[in-house]
Amino acid sequence: MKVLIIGAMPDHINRNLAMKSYLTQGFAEILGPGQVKETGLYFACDLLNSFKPDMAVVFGSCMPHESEYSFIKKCCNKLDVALVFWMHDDPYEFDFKYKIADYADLIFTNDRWASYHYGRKNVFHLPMAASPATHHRPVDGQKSIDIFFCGVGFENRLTLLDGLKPVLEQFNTQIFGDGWDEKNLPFTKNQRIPNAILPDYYAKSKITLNMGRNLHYANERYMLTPSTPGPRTFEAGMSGALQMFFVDSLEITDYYKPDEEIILFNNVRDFEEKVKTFINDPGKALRIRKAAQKRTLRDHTYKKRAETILKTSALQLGLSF
Amino acid sequence: MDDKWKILLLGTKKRDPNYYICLAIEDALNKNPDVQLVINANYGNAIDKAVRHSCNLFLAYGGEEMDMEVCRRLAVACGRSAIWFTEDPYEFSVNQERAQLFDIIFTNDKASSLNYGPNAHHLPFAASKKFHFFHYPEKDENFLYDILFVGTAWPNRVNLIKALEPHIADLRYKFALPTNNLLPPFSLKQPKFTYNWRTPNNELARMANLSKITLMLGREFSASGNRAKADTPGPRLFETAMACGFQLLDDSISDFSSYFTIGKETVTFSGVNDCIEKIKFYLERPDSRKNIAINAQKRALSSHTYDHRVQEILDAASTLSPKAKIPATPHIHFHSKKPTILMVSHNVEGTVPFGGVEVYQGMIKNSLLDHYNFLFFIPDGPSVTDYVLKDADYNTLKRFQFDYSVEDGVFYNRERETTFGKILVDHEVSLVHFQHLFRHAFSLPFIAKALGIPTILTIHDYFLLCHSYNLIGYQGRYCQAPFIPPTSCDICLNASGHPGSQYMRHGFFSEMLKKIDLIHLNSSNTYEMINASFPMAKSFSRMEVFGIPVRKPYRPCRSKVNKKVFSVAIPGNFTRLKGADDVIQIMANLRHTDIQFHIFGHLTKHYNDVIDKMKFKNLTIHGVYDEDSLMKTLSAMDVSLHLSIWPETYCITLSEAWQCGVVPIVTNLGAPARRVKHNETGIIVPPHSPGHVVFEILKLKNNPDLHKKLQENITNNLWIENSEHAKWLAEKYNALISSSGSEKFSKADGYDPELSLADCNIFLLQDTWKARPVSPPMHVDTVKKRSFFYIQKALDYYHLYGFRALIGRLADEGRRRIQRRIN
Repeated sequence: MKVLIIGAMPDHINRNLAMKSYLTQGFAEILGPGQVKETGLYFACDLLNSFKPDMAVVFGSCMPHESEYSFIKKCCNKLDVALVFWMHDDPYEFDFKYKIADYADLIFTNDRWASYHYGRKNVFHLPMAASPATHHRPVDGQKSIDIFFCGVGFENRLTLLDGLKPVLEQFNTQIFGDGWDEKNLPFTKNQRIPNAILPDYYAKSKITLNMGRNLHYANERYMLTPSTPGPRTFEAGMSGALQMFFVDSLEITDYYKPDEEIILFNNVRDFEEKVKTFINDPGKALRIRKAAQKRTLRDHTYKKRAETILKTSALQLGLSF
Repeated sequence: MDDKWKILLLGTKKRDPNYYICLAIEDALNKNPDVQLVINANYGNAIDKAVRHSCNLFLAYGGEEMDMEVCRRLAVACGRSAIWFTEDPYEFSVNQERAQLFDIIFTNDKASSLNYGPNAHHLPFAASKKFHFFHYPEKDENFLYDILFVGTAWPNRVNLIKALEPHIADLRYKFALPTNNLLPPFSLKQPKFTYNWRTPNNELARMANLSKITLMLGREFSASGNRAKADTPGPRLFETAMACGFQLLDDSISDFSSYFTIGKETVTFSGVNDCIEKIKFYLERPDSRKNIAINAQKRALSSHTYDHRVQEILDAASTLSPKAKIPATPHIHFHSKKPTILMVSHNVEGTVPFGGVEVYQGMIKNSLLDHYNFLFFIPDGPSVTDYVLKDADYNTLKRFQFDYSVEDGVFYNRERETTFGKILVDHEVSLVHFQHLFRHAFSLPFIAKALGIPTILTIHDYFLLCHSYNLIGYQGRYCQAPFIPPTSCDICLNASGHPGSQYMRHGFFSEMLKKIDLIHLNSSNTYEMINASFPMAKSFSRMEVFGIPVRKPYRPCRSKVNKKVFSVAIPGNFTRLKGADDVIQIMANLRHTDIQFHIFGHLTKHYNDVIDKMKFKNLTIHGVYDEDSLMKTLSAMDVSLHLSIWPETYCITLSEAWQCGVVPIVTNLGAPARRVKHNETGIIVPPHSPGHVVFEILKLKNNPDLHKKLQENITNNLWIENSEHAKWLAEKYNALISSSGSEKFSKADGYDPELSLADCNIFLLQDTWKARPVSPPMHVDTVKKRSFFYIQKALDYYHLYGFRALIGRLADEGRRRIQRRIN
C-alpha cells in the first residue's frame, strides 16, 4: 500500500510543519520508506498523479484561505485514491469543518468532543502524538529547573499561574514563551524556545506544567470546550517529563495513568503538596518520568497513530495494507 | 401511520454550546424502528434536504433564536411539525409566538405546557447512553472527589456553594462555576482558576461518576423577564443518573419525585445545613451511595433516555394527518398563478452603460413575461451602497441603502443578506436567476437556498475566477487562467494594485456553487474553464451549456454579386478588450487600400482622439446602434472582426454577423474560437496579431470564391434563436420550481427571515479576498502604468457618468479605503 501525506495548509505558513514529517515517518515504519511520500498542499495533485498512492492523508489545519481541497478531491476521484483528513486544531478552528465535510472519505480529529459534532459519518477521534526520534531524551539527566512551562500566555494560563503564584515563587520556576505578564508573574519570561531544543528543557526540569489553551479562532457554532490534550502533552511525555495537570477534564487519564504516569491537581494546596513531594523525592519522580516515557513510546507515537488510520481505513473503506 | 418516519431535525439555536442534546435526539431517532431516515440539518440546507428526501415530519429542537420563516416553510414542506422547547420557562413569552408554527408542542417545563394549548405536552430532558453511561467505580479508592458541582454560576448556586465552602474545607471538593456577562461577578475562597473552567458534557458525566457525591442545584434566573424557576429539572439530573453518580438534589427548585424515587434513587436536601448533614452522612455510607446510584442509573435507562423521549414525540406525531406535501420528483406542471423570478444582476437595459448581460436579461423577460413575473435586484447606478428592486418594466419598486459599501463585492454582509431574504419572502419569489454578482454580497445564493428557493447562475464572464472578470492580467493580456498555478494569481493581483488572495475567492465560490441548482454556461469553452476552476462543481450542481440567443430571427443573406467595395465591420463597443488597439493597426496598414472599415458601437474618448489623429479616409463610424439598423447595415458587409483579447464566453455579435451572412474573423480565445470552424464558417487568428488579420482580409478580398464558400457555410444552426432559448429556459424554471416546491410555501405574509451566511454554517475570517500589498510594485514602469491606468479609468468614468457621479464615486472609494484601514 502507498500513502501520500499532504499538508493541509501550504508549508510556508505552517508553524507545525515538523509534525507532517513525524507522521510520514510513522507510516514509513509500518509500510516501508518507499511506500510513503509527503508533499506540500500546492503540489498535491502533481504527486497524486506521479506517485499514485492508495490513500492520501491531508494533515493539519484547514483554516487558512489557501486550504481548499476541491482539486485534491477531483484528483483522488479520478485516480481512485481514498481521501482522508486528520485535523489537528479542533476545536479551536472547528467552524471551518465545512471545507472538508463534503470531500473526505474519512475524517480523523484530534479532539474527542469535536468528533461528535461533525454532522456526518466516518469521523473518528485520533489524538496527537510524539516522535521518538525528535522528542526522546534520557530521563535521568541533570535537572536544573524545578518547574517549567513554555507557551503563549493565554488568559486561562495567566489565571492558573496567578493562582499558583505563592507556590511557584518558592521554587526555581521558569516559564518561557510569549504574552506573559512578567511584572505580575516574575518567574515568566517572554523568550521563545525553539522547538528543536524544547525536549531538552522538558528533560532538565523536575516538573513540567501541562496547561491547555482557551483561545479559539473559529469556534462559534457549538462553542466546543477542548477535550483532548494537545501534542505537547505527548512530546513532553516522550522527553521524560513529569507533568502536572490541573483537572478540567478527565480525558487525560485515557492517555496517562494518574499518579503513575501523570500527576493531577485540583487546587493550590493539592499542587503544593505534590510539588514538594516530587522535588524532595527524586526517586519517586524518576519512576513517574520513566513510566510516562514508556507509556508514550508504547501508545502515543505517530507510528501508533498511523496504524490506527490504516486499520480504520481497512475497516471502513476496504483498503488493505 | 403506515409509512415510516423521514424526519428533518433542526436545532433552532444558531450558536449552541449544548448541541450535544440535539445529537442525542438524532441518535435516538436513528435507533427507533419506526424511523427510516433522520436528517440533522442546519438553516442553510434544511428546506432543500426536507424536500429532496420527502421528509414527513419536521422536528425543531430548542426554540431559541428560531428563524420563523424557515421553520414555517419546513412545516409546509414536511406536512407535519413538532417542536420541543428546551428553554421554558425562561423564554416562554417568545416561545408562545413560535409555537403557532407547529402542530404539536413539547416543552421541558411542566407549568409552561399548560399554557400552550391542547396540543402541548410536557417532555423533560433525558440522558444519552452514548455520552453519559459509566459503570459504578469498582473500589472506593477509585473516586477522585468527595463532592462535585459543575454548572453555570447562577446566583442561587453561587450562594449555596459559598455557604458550603467553610464546612467542606477538609474534603476533596471540585467546583466549576463558569460565568457569563449577564451574571453578577463573584468570588469564592479558592483562587479563580479552581472554579472558572468548563468541561465537555461527556467529561462532566465522567467526573460525576468518579465523585462520591454530585450536587444537583437548579437554576433560578431569567434575563428575559419570564419566570425564573423551572418546574422540571434540567438535563444534568438525568445525565448524572446515567453516569451512575450519587446525587444530592436541592429540593427548593424542582419536583424530582416524578422522575426518581426519593430515598431509593436519589436524595434531596433542604437548605445549607441539611446539605452539610447529608454530605457527611453519605460520605460515611459507601454502600448506600452505591445502591442509590445504581438504582438511579437503572431508572434512567428504563425511563429517561432520549430514546424514550423520542418515542413520545413519534407517538404524538402519528396522530396527525399529513397536510398537502411537496412532491420530491420533478415534473412540469402548469402553475395556478405566475411564479415570480428574481434576477440578481449589476444593471438592466436602458441604464447606461449596459451591454450583453443586460440585453440578455431583457430578452428572457420579454420572451417569458406571459408565464412569469420578473423582478430585478441591482445596484443603483454607480453607487456602492444603494440598491433598487425593479419590476419587469424597470420601474423602481423599492430602494435600499446599506451602511457598508462594497466595491466589486464582498463574500458576506449581514445587512444585505437579511434584506435579500426579506425581498424573497415579501415578493413570493419562486426562483432566483443570478446573472451577475458584481457589487453584491456573494453569499446571496446561500440565503436563497436556505429559504428553499431554487437558483440558476448564468455565467457571462469570469467573475467567479477573478475580480478582473475578463482575465486580463497586470501585463495587459489574457493571463491564461485557470490553466496557471494559483500563485500566479496572487502575484498578478499584487502587481496590478489589487493585492489579495485568489485562493480565498476560489474557496468561497467553490462553496457557493454548491448552492446553485443549475449553472448555465454559454459555450463549451466556458464550461471547460469553469470546470477546470471548480472541478467539484458538477458533483453538486447541474451544469448545462446553452448559447445566448439572437434577438430576432434574421436569415443569412448572400453577398451582392455586383458589390465592388470590400467592407469590414467591427461590431460591438470599440474598446481595448474588444481588440481596438489591433484594429487600429489593421486599419493603419490598410489605409491606402479600397477596403472600407465600419465601426458599430460606442468609442471611448481615447479611441476617438486616436482615430481623429489618424484621419482614416476609409473608415465610417456608425456609433451606438439599434438592432434593426445594425442588421440592415451589417448585411452589406463582407467580413466582421471579433478580435477580443479576452476569452469571451459567447460573443453575441458573432451570431449577429452570421445572421447577416458576414464572414467573421475571430481570435483564438474563448467561445468564438470554438464556435467558428476555421476556413469553414469563418477564420481564426492568433490574438494580438494584426498581421494575421490583414493577411486574411486580403486573402478573402482577392479570392471571392473562397469568400462565397465561407458565406454559404453559414446556416442558422450556428446561433440560437430566441424562441429556442426561451423554451429551454422555461423548462428549467418549471422543473426547478416544481421540484423545490417553492411556490407552495411562498407566502406574501411570511415572517421576516434573519438569515446570514454564518447561519448556513459557513465561516470566514474576513469578508473580502483583498489584503494589504505583500510587496511594492516590482519596477518603476509598473508604477507609472498603474498611475496612468487610474487616471484613464477616472476619465472614462467622467465621460460615462458625468462630473458629479465621478466625485461621488471618488468619495465612496475614499471612505471604503479608510474603513478598511480602520478594520
